[in-house]
Amino acid sequence: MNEREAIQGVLEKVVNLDIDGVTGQVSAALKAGADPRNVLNDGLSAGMRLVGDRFQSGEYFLTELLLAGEVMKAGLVPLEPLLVNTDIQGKGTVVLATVKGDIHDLGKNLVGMMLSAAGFEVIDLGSDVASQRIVEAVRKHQAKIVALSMLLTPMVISLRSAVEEITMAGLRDQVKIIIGGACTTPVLAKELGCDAHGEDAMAAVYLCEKFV
Amino acid sequence: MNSIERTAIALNLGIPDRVPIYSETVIQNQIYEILGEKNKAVPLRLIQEGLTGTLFKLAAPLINRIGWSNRQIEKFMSKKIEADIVLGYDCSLAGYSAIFNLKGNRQATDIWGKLYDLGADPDGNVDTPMYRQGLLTTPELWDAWPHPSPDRIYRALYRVFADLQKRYGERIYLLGSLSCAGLWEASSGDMGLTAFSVALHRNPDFVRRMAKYYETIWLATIRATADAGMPALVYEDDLAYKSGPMVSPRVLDEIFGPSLRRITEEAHKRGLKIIIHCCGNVNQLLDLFVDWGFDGAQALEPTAGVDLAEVKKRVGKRMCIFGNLDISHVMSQGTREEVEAAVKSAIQAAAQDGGFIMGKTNSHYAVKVENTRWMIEYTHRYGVYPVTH
Repeated sequence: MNEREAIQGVLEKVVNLDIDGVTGQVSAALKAGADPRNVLNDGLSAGMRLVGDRFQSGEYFLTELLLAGEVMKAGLVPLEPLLVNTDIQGKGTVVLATVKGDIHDLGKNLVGMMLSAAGFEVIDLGSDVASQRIVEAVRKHQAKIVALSMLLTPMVISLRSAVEEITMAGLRDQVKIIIGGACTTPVLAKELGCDAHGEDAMAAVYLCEKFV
Repeated sequence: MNSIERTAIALNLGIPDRVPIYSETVIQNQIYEILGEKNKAVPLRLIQEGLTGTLFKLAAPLINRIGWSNRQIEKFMSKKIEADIVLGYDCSLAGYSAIFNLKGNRQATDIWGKLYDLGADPDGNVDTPMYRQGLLTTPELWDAWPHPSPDRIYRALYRVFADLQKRYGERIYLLGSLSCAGLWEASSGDMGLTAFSVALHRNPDFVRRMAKYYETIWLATIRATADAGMPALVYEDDLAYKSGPMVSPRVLDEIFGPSLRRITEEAHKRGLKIIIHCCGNVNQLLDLFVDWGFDGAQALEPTAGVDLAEVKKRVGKRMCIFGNLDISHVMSQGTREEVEAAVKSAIQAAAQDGGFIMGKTNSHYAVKVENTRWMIEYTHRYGVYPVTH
């Protein structure tokens, strides 16, 4: 098996959700002489991209997306030690959080997973995150995008607060703010002064790619 | 015609005197406001801060042993139904949710194997525990958990349902339910959705085994409901989210369909109607709901892209439609005019030839009692048959 075939094999393991076979295939690709960065970009990440496409087309559902995330994690195990000292150019830094008062994180975690696979550096602050922490993370990591998740209607107040705090910190021009979650809509995004509303995890990726 | 008759006719896809109105409200501050009583909910700071917080944390094992917190939940079920009667609802969800065990003073587990955070509602009182994660992330952990037996569930539910039916069953149509036990929601919640997604792919026989267990729990729930004299029950299972089903409908049917068909068959054998509550965008699941044998569908969230008229067109001759006033705006911040318009629109969409019950999509503390009163007022005004709006 040559290098290109091996990397294609990695891609196929991800697309076909082969959690048991992906690690071996990644190891085989490395053994065939593939650069770890190419295995990551053209194998794992490209595979995740196709998974995202299948999700958008309705062939895959949430459970397949989550499984794909686990396949990617498994595939990264032999790769990560080799990637530590490489100079991978990311697409940009995204600060990701579920707003204060809301502990739901499934959608946020999915967005984080898809953004990482798409080459973004994701600073995931977790859930129930105070606005000030979001501001600090934007400053510290020079983030270009803030992605905020909200499931519960009453948490609009936290979403509003996050946008206000970013503005008051003088960072509003530095970042694009995307919101998503069950109770969010494009109308709400506009009302709060955000830049976009992401309907689902893949939409979030497309928006982020548009913004960088 | 009384509320019992009205609701029964609608559930049988008939045309009653007017559109019945359904309540799934379980929010403390709303219930006490409706009853004009002092809010007896416990402030969260009392159980989490200071000396009382420390004492509560130490006493948690004893509280669990004597079942104090679950008894408060059971008592609250009565208050909920009383409030529904006062407000003028025709039918009310009597959902059994005394299933929690405290884990210190900040978290709780349920009897199925899930972990919850204890948080506060906007008034600072202890809120419904919020799901945090599944504790049974592997088949081995799931097998080792002390799952409650169907008999235990039967005894607990029968005791409460029989009492509620005796006290309120002639004034309001009661629908029993059991919290957090829907086959999909319970299985995926016990494991956590990620671990469950892996299991679904790697070990579908184990997932079928979980489904089978929860099937026995629902069969016991049905027996308890029927023996208590309640006429119907709600099967709660959130299979979908905003964008659609969380799992392929084909896989859902393959893994859970056989159990769901046996559940609805048992309900029907015992003379009960059984409604499915499912949040999210259920457009791809409606035909499955019918195929699985459900008599009605509730939630039908418009903010998730569910159009009531479309639902009525597709399955309205086979299922009773409950709907579907939005809680993210109409029932929480909407004006009187907006509530009126939403009620008229729902009646227009789904009530014309019966088989329709008015209601909100969900229970939520953002919902205003005032908006609920308007919903009931306008249903009385515009929902008298023959409906012309």
